[in-house]
Amino acid sequence: MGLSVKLLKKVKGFTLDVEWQIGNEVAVLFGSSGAGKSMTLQLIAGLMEPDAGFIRSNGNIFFDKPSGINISPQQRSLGYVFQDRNLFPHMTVRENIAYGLRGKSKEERYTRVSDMIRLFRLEGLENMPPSEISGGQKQRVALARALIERPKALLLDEPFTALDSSLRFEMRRLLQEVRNEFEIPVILVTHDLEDAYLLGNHIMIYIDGKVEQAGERDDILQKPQSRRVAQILGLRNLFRAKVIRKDEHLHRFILGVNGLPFSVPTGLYQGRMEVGKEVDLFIRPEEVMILREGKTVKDSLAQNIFEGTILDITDKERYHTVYFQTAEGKILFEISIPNYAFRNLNLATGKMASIALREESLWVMT
Amino acid sequence: MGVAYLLAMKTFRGKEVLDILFTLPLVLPPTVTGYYLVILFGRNGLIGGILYEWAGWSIMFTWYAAVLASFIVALPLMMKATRAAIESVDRNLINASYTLGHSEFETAIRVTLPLAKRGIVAGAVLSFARAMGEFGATLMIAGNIPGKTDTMPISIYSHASSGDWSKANLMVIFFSLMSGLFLYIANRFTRRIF
Repeated sequence: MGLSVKLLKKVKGFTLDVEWQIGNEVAVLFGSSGAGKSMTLQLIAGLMEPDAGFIRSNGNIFFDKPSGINISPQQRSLGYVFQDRNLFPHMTVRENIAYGLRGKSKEERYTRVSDMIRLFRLEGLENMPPSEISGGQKQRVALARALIERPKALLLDEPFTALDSSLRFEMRRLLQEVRNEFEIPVILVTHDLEDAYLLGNHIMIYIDGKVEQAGERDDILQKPQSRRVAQILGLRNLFRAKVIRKDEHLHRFILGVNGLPFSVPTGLYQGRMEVGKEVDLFIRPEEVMILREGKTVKDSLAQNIFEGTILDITDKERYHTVYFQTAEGKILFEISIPNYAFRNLNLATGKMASIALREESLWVMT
Repeated sequence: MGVAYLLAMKTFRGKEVLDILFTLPLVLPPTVTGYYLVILFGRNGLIGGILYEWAGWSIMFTWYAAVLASFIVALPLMMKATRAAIESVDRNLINASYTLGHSEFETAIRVTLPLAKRGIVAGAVLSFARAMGEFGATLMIAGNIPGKTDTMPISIYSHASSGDWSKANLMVIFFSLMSGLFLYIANRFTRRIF
């Protein structure tokens, strides 16, 4: 099932060392440029040879160092779409797509190509050269060409980076369709958080040639393993903290951020935290609650209540973002509130307010 | 072209040596190139000797020799231009062709060479012009036998040195015009590479 790889590749001053497996799903390789994402695709496609490891896809062995197997890129039958400059400039759209076919009779070639042209909504452009169609159309042609022979997996190297935002939206939808139509693993390389978030079920965070964290999208966004992952994901409300003491009686760790105490249950972090240790604390903007005045709070919230001032409010169409600073410690929180809740709260810039953090929503990176 | 393709696409031991070997005629004085040719193809030469033993014939002082000399001297231009043209083809496109299941040979025929076509044609035109103007090496290996091995540059030399200015003038003007035309054609091809 799917694709499983173990890759080691050393090139000048850089070492890629990764191991992962995915099913027939869209997996996103996310990270900043130079982290080894594109190299991973080239190794899988056979355009580069790993120094060690293996590449297996749905029961086929593409590469296996110990037994010396190294299938040529031609025999791997993978679809590969690059960021840009994909299409052969000396061929028309139809010729480009047909180039993805192997053998077959003239009639069959014609109908297969026509099917792809329909599926990717390229009618009317068949006889144009790539230089005369738009960026989005080019990437659709590239996808059609890569998929026409029904590849065993689809490799996409920043396929939407060269497109503007409205086209990206359209391409994302197209990719969803592709995933439904072709049941194959899709590996998408991107450094765009939105692409990663909207397209990937499974995300692998690449940092310096290693997979820093891999997992389901929501897991990673809620529980980043390290500060580096949190930063690369652009997560808000990330605080440096220090373990001040352990409350044996209440089974709590007390963490200090700028002198302000935060309380988290010990259960989750058993053995990983001791008094005096520097850690990172994270809470998602939508998990921060703003308390209504005079309202009593549940026990689970009572541990982490802070008073402060609202610095700013921005309207983000479906929700509001409130910037809140605690009176003590001057810690800045970014808070996302759905519009209906926002209206009930009666908030305004400069006003005093209180926030409450559920202990379970606080995530500590040790 | 095969050599140029190898030099452009592959990395192998001795690649630079091969490149230097094929480029030498460009920088060597033509008489030196001609000297090498005489050594190689002369009646006692490495290749010429074998040929003479087998066929009892030598290339020396025939018009074949003039062609050979022109060819060798023009080769570096052709090869350099072809190598540069092939190297300028986007590696992504070649890789795309491989992942689409096309062999290296098929990719060369259907993608690499068509995209390098303009550069190759420009190189061919330039090297043809160079071959036409070949003088030194030709003189060394083919000599100057009127009506047989006297190429145009050689007969211009003969006419000028024997004081036959009108014939020399005519040939010089013709030659200049031809060369100008070739350069124009070569430029047109190199400029419109997309």
